[in-house]
Amino acid sequence: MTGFVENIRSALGVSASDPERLEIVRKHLDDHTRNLIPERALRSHQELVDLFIQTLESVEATVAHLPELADVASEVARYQIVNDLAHELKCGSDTLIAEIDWSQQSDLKILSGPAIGKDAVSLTHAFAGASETGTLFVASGPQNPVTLSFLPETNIVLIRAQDIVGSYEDAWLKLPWGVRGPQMPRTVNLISGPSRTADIEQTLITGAHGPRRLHVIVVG
Amino acid sequence: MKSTARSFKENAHEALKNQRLQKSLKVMGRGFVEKRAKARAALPEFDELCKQGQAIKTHTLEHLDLYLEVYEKQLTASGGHLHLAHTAADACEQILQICRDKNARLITKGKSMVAEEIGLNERLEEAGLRVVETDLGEYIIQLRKEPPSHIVAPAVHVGADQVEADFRRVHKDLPASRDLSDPAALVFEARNMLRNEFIDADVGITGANFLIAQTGSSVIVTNEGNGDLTQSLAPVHIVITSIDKLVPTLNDASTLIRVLARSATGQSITTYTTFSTGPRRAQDLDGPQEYHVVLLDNGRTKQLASEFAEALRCIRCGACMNHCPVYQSIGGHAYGWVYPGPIGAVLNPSFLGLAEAADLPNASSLCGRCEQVCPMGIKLPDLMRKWREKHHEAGGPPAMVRGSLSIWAFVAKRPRLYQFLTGMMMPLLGKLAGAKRKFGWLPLASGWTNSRDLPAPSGKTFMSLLKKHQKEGRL
Repeated sequence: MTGFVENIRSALGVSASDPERLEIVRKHLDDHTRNLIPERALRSHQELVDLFIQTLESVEATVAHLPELADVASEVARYQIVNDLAHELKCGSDTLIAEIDWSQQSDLKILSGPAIGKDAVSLTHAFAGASETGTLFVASGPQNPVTLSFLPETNIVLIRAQDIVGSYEDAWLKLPWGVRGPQMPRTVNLISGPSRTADIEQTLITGAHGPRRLHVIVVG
Repeated sequence: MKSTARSFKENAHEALKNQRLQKSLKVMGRGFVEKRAKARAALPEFDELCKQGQAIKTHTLEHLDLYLEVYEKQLTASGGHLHLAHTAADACEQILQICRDKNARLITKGKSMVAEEIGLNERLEEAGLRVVETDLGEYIIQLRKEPPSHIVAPAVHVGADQVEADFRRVHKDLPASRDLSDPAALVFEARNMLRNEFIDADVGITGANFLIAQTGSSVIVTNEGNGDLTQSLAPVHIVITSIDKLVPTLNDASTLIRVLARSATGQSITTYTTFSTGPRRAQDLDGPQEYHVVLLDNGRTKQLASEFAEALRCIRCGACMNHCPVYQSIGGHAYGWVYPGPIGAVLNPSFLGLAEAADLPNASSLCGRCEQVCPMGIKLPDLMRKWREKHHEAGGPPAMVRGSLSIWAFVAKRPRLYQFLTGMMMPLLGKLAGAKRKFGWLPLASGWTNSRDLPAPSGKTFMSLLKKHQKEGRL
C-alpha cells in the first residue's frame, strides 16, 4: 500500500496520523449507522410479506406461499409437472431443505452438490428477503453451492416468512455478525427475479445466462 | 483503448450521416429517460437517497487513504490478494502475470469499463490468450470488433438484424436455416454458445461497482447472471477495478444500490447484485480457489487533488448520457474513448490530456439535464466549462476563435458601446431578412446556417423596447 496511499494523502493534503480523521473513520465503521430507509421497507411484517411476493411477481418470478414446510415437496412436484421439467432436483446440504420429507414424491430424484452443466432444476435456501425490491439473499457455502443459483435453467428458492424483512440493512442482520460487521461467506447473492437482458434493441427478454425461471416458495 | 477523441468533430459529422446509427438511436429514443422517471416517481425518497449517496461518496473520497487501508486488511483477512496498479499498463501486466502463473488459455469476462479503460482484452490477446466477453452486449461488440458505445448498454448502437448477421457469420456450426428473427432467439443462441466457455474457463475476470472497506468485498450488479457464472465457475477470479469504487460499509452500499439501477435502467434493483469476499472457503463445494483484486489509480489520485475531484463520485449509471441531446444525436462512439456523454466530456480530458480531448467539453449546449439527473449531483456543466477555460488559458482554441471571443468580451463589458452597436445592427438585420424572417446564409455564420436557418431579429433591441415602454408608462 505504501506509495499508493501516500500519493492519496498528499493529494488530500492530510497526514497519516491525524487522530481526528482516524476517529471519524473508526466511528463510521463501528457505529453501523444507517442512512435513510424508504417507507416501503418499514411496514408491518404481514404487509412486508405481501409486498415481497407482489414485487417478485412484478419481475416475472412466480411465488407460492405455503403454511408448512411439509407442503414444500408436493409444491415442487406440482411446479415441475406444470412446467414440464425433469423430475430432478439439485440442492446443497442446507438444514432447512434437509427437513423436507420427499417420501411422497417417489419419482422425484434428489441430487446433492454443486451444479453441473446438465442440472435442470435447483433448490436453494435464502437466509433473508428484502421486501423493498423483492430481493432474495442467498449465502454460498456447502449448504447452498453458488452455482445452484446460476447454472440450472430453473431455480427454486425456499424462504421462511419470518426471514422476510423490509430493507437490505435488515437483511444483512440475518448473517452471523462479528464486531465490525457480518461474517461474509464467499458470495452473498441478491436475487430479484429470473435472469434477463435488454441488450438487443432494449427488448426485455428473460433467461439470458442465469436461470430462465425463478420460483420462490415462502413458508409460514 | 485507443482514443479517437481528437477527431471528435469528424466523428460527430459521420455519426449524424450514419443512417444505421441514427436508426438505432431512434430505437433507444426516450426509453431510458421514461423508465428512470417512472422509477424515481415510484420511490418518494429517491432524491433524498441521492443526496445521502453523494455524502457517502464525498466522505469516502475525503478519507480514501484510511478506508483503503481498512479494505486491504479485510480483503487479505478473507484470503484475497490485492494488486496495486498505478497505470493502465501496470494493471494489464499484473492481470497477465496472474493468468500466466495459472497457465491460463481461456478467459471469460464480465462487463467492466475499467477493463476497457486499460485495454485489457487487446493485451491478453496479444499474449496469446483467448478472451470471451460474456455480457450479451459486450459479446456482440466483441464479435463486431467495436468498442462499447454506452457504459450500461454497450451495444445500444447495434440493430437486431445486425446481431443476426454477426451470429450467422460467427456461429458457423449451427444450421443456416435456423430462425433468428426474434431477439429471444438471439439471446438463446448466445446463451448456448457461452455455456461451455463459462465451464471451461481458466480465469474469470469481472469489474466491480463497489468495494466495501468494512468487509473487504467487491460488488457487481448485473441482469444476465453472466458475471456470476464468470466468477463462480473459473478456478481464479480476478476483479479489475479502480479506487473510486470504494465505500465504507454494507449500509452505505445499500443506499447507493437503491439509486444506481433506478438511475440507469429504471429497475428498482438489478436482477443480480453479488457481494464477493475472498476465494471459496475450505468447506465450499464450488467457487474460485483464488480471488485477486487489481486496484487501478490511472490518474484518479491526481484528479482527487484537482477541481475535477467531484467527478470521482460517479457510479457509472449512464443517466447523463441517456438525457444528453448531444449523445442522443451522435451516440457514444463519436466521443472517441471509453466514457461517452457528459461524464466522458469531463473524465476523458483527465485521462487522455486536454490536447487529445479538448473538443469533448465543447460538445455540450450546457442545457443542464445531465446535472439534473445525475444521482451523485456532479456539476457536469460547470466541470465542462472549467475544461473550456483551461483550454482557452492554454492557448488551445484557434486564433480566429480567440480573437472573436476577445472582441465579444470587449464589447459585452461596455454597455453603451454594446447598445450602440446592437441598436445599429438589429434594425439592419431585421430589414435584410425580408418577409421570411429568417436567414439561410449570413457572412461569418456558416457554422450555423449550413445546417439550419437563423431566425431574424425583430428589428428592435430589448433595451430600446424597455425604454419605450417605460416612457409610455406601460411598466
